[in-house]
Amino acid sequence: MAVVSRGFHGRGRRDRRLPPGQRDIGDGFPVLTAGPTPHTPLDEWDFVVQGQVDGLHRWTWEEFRALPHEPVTVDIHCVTSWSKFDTRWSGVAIDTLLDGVETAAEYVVAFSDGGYTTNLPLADLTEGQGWVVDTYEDEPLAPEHGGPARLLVPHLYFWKSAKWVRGLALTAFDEPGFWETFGYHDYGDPWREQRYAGD
Amino acid sequence: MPTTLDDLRGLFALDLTGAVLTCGGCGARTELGAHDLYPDAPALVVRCPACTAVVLRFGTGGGLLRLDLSGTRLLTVTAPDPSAG
Ligand SMILES: [Zn+2]
Repeated sequence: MAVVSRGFHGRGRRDRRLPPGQRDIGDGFPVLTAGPTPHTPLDEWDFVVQGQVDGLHRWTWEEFRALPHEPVTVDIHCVTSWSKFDTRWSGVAIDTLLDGVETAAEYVVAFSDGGYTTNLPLADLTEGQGWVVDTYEDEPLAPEHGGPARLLVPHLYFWKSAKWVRGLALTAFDEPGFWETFGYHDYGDPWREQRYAGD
Repeated sequence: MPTTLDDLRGLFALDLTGAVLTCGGCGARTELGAHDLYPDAPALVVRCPACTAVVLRFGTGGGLLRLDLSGTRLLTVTAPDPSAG
């Protein structure tokens, strides 16, 4: 007989979608700020894949917009304990950006305007698990939520979904990012409640 | 007198509010207290008022004090005891 987690017994579908220690924020979408909101002009914006790759891969805003986009509807989970269900985005899959990129790297550091960085295993961005999104709820992604483009990696806590993302540095070794060096968990799986180092 | 690690104790016992930080990004020299502060985060983020680069981060979570000065090129503070200089 299968072992069923008792905490889920008799609860509605939404509770089953809520990782431990999280609450449903409903229509809210709080913004945590560690700096001024960048406003990089689109004609100066680019996105690059660099590091342990065969040369630099770069897209201007127009080139990025012309890449195949796909709709993504996902639940997101912030480490500050709110979750938001069925958020609707559109963006470019990391698989598309890495198509044809030769690399032996196993890790990624995403970097952003404003100096933010976050680290992830490369395997957590590929096979339909990560996107660079430029559209939220059918509108251009607002600057306070990371526009013109942010990373979206919904299966990890939302600090991994770097706002104002400008590129991915592929690395052979894991290099902790902006908050990971300050006590946030290196991986950040909300279902294992990996909020802080040691969790 | 050679400088030793023991002298670091003197530095961190000081009130650093009047310390002057030279930004590693743009080179601006600014008193610590005149920087842009972002406390609404897992650590206090201190940014250069001239170029908005992060010059200092300080965190107290998880029973650890963490200080990141990688965005500061130079920190200068007046020695409390003139004879120490
Ligand atoms: Zn500066």
